[in-house]
Amino acid sequence: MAFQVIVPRIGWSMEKGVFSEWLKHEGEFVNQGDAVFSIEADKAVEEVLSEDAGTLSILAGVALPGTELLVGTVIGFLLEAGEAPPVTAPATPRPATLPAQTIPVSKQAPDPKASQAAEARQTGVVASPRARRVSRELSVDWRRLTPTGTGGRVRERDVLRSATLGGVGRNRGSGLVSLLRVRADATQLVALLDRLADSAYVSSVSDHYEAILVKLAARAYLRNTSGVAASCLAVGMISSEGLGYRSLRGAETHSVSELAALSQGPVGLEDTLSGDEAFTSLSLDSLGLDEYLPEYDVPGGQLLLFGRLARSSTRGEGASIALALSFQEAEVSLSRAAKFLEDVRIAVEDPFVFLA
Amino acid sequence: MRELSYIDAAREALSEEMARDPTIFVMGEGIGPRGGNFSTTVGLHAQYGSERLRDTPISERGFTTLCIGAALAGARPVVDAMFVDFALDGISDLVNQASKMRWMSSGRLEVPLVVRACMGVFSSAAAHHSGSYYSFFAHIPGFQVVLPSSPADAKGLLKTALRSRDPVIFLEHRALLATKGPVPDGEYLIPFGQAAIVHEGTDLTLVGLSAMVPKCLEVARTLAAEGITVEVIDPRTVAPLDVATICASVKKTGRLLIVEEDYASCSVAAEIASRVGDESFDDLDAPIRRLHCGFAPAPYSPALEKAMAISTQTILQKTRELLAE
Amino acid sequence: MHKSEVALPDLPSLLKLYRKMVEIRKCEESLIKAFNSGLMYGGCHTYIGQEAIASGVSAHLNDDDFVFGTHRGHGHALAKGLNPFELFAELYGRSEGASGGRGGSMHLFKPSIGLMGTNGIVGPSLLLATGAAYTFKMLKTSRVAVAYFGDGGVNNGAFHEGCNMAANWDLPVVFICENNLYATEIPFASVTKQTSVAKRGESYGLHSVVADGTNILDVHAKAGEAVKRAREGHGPTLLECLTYRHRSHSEGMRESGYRTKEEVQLWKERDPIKALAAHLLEAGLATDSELLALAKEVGLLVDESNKRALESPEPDAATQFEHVLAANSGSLHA
Repeated sequence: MAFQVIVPRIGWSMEKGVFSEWLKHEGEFVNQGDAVFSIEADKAVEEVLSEDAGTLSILAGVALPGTELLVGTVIGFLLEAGEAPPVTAPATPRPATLPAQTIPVSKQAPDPKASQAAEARQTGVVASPRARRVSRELSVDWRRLTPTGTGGRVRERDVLRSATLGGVGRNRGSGLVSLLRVRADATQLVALLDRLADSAYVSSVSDHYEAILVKLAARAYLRNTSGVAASCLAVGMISSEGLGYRSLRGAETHSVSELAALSQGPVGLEDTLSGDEAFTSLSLDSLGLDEYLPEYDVPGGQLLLFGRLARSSTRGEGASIALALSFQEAEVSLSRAAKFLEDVRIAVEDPFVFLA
Repeated sequence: MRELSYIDAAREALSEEMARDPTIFVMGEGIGPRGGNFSTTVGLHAQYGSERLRDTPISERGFTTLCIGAALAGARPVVDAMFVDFALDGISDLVNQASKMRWMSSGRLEVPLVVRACMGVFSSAAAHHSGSYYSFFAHIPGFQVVLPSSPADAKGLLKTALRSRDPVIFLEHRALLATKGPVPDGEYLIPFGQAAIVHEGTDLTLVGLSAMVPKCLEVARTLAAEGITVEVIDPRTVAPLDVATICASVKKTGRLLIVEEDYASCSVAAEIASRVGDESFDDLDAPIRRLHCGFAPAPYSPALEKAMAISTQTILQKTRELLAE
Repeated sequence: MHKSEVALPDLPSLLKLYRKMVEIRKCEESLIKAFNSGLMYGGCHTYIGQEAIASGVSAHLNDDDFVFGTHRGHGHALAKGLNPFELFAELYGRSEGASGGRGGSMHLFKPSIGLMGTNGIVGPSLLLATGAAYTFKMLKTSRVAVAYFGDGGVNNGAFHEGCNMAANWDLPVVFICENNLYATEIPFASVTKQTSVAKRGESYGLHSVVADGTNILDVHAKAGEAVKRAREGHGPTLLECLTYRHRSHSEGMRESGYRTKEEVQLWKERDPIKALAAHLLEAGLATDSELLALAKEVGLLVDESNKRALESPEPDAATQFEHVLAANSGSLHA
């Protein structure tokens, strides 16, 4: 049986070598352990010792001095006496090379966030990532704000303050705005929430909380002939989820549970105030605000705001909530607005009756 | 609920599990009749005998690897290395054998091994008895690395460790051993990879590891009196690491300070910072800050040790600085 | 001191030992060619010249006895019962290999037959086996753990710590030192003053015996006694087998002059397979043609396994990240 003479792997990683010379000639007998040829691998010429014995038959035109040969290339045979060399050389084994790694290159449109950041670097004004995000949500241009962060960095609070003060962001419209405030006893409201929290049927107390406030505002509105048009009233509230907005429209026809179910998923302020039953959420808790009166754009311009529910640390004890109504006196008289806010207060203080 | 010390709570976990599972045994220097240098096994030798509370020669590499072999044969060994500095003698086989065995054997073998040891800069123990080294292990696939910070966690996490199917590195900070707290009776297990929110807040997130957790809590209480609420999170295990809980907190607070008594470079805090940066970039209102011990070996003199350790005061100051950023 | 109670093997057992040695030799010869052809990567440490040791030791072991091998571990694996196909497929990095292509030469696992891994690190085999023996004893079984290591491993701290603890606690473990005189290419005598491994073992109060590692009858008898001692609760044994590897440390490495051609030739003449063949012929237990036929039959089986292994599919790349932790591993399957 003919044994193959092959280019061996010398060391752990050799892939190819440069053939130097045959150390045995055609027809010469080769013993196991004899040096048959030499090859240059990793800059050193190595003699290759035979693993087998037999008469050397050199494969013509393959192993020539100076030729680069892959590991595993058959360059000859060792034959038994009288044996003829195989007619065709077996295919050179495929070296077990690792496939070259290809890294997919994605071609995407430039990210608007990235370009905004690049622009900021150029103008020298910086904002925290969070401030940038909130700016986008409130359509505020943070590059025009006065930074309060270390090293002149615009922080979230800077964005929120500017949105509150006006002057940047949304156009407030032409009319002057008046504000009424009152504080309501929230003991009953808290009791109601505690009941909900204990109930197996309620999955999200916060959703219900928001729905209850909308519902109470709607009931107060129905009791009132103030002229505050439902379609012209937005309700804002600070809850554990942040700041939420809601239109009063349609609130009376839905139950609290239905309203709660409708409140899933934050959406932009703009979507909310265009009249859909949806909320937007901002994380205002970190600011410790009790009330927040943002800019808004409702025809007629009324906004009823429920402040943060201030609970006593002990369950079952007193709690209060701030109520505020902003309105344009050109649209609604002061007395009517005050009457409406008073009705809301009454409803909030006795939610069991007003939701019944 | 009854109160136990941290070390008593851990020992209760060990004893309960040894009673439940006859394949558990402990190896270490002086853990037999003597009950362990840190009282980790007091009273257990009388109950379970020499084969299951095996006093060893000072051959940490030897008995650590022996325990790996014992685990392969179906036992559940506990290496009580006393100081984690000593456990380093066995790190080659922990990494080369224990952590890789499941993978190398394509899931046909497993190493349910617990290596427990004390760690940390405390009481002038100096350069060879104050290391932490958990970041080494957390870097390697195949390990679970546990840092209990309270008596209840010491019990609940050690019980989970003693039922785990993978090697666990369980490190107890010496400053915590005598601390007391409520500990549930009997069956109490805390899953790995679930961070604890030990104090709720909305102004800033403080992540503390091991003995830094009680210090962070103290800072949170101090600031609460000023109307600033800090959320304190204890990851409890650094491998697996619960980044989601930290990110959820940062979503609320926008600010993150990570406190760990270990070197800054290649640390667990660096890993947390990187991952929160990746996942919560748009929630950050300030740079992520880290607080580490100094980059030098632990000293002997109390005057030097003070410079090395992280005090509550330092954490408080760093917290205030970050709140102002 | 226990006297050998292991009888000389009968003829079927002798032929079985012969067959196993030939199988290991043929596999190694095929692997050398595969390595040279570029079909394999990394280290390939052959066992040629040392076949008598693993073959003689494993003849006394059951499937539930554990063997911890070394980097020169193809023989340890085959002797414990790994079939040649699983060896070839593993070294070709294929999914049907002993370790699914994850391990290659130095990470051959088959726990179902007690093959607890060949090992890329010198030293831990002693301690891992000592630990398995600790469990075997604690759980009151009669199982035995075997550790292989070379003269190189003897100078690692694991040897000292393992000998000390195994002897001290009377553990059912057998330490097989394959003293082939060179740690890679460093002569044992050049790095240590006490070149008798057995004498070192004795200093730990460890029952220590020397065997001619090229004589399978000697290895078989002494390993048999060691395994019996362990199984019957009489504690560990260190068996120092004097042997030699015929090939370079690892395939692809040249003989760099650390040993003479004459020395290599001398040891090649002490070939363990030739030695057993001579014994069988002299004792009239087998004829030349019977032994040739046996070798040919084994050769065909090995060739067939080799060929089949080359056709085994490559592992699915997605499986690379399985079995890191129990969570992505599922329940144990042997």
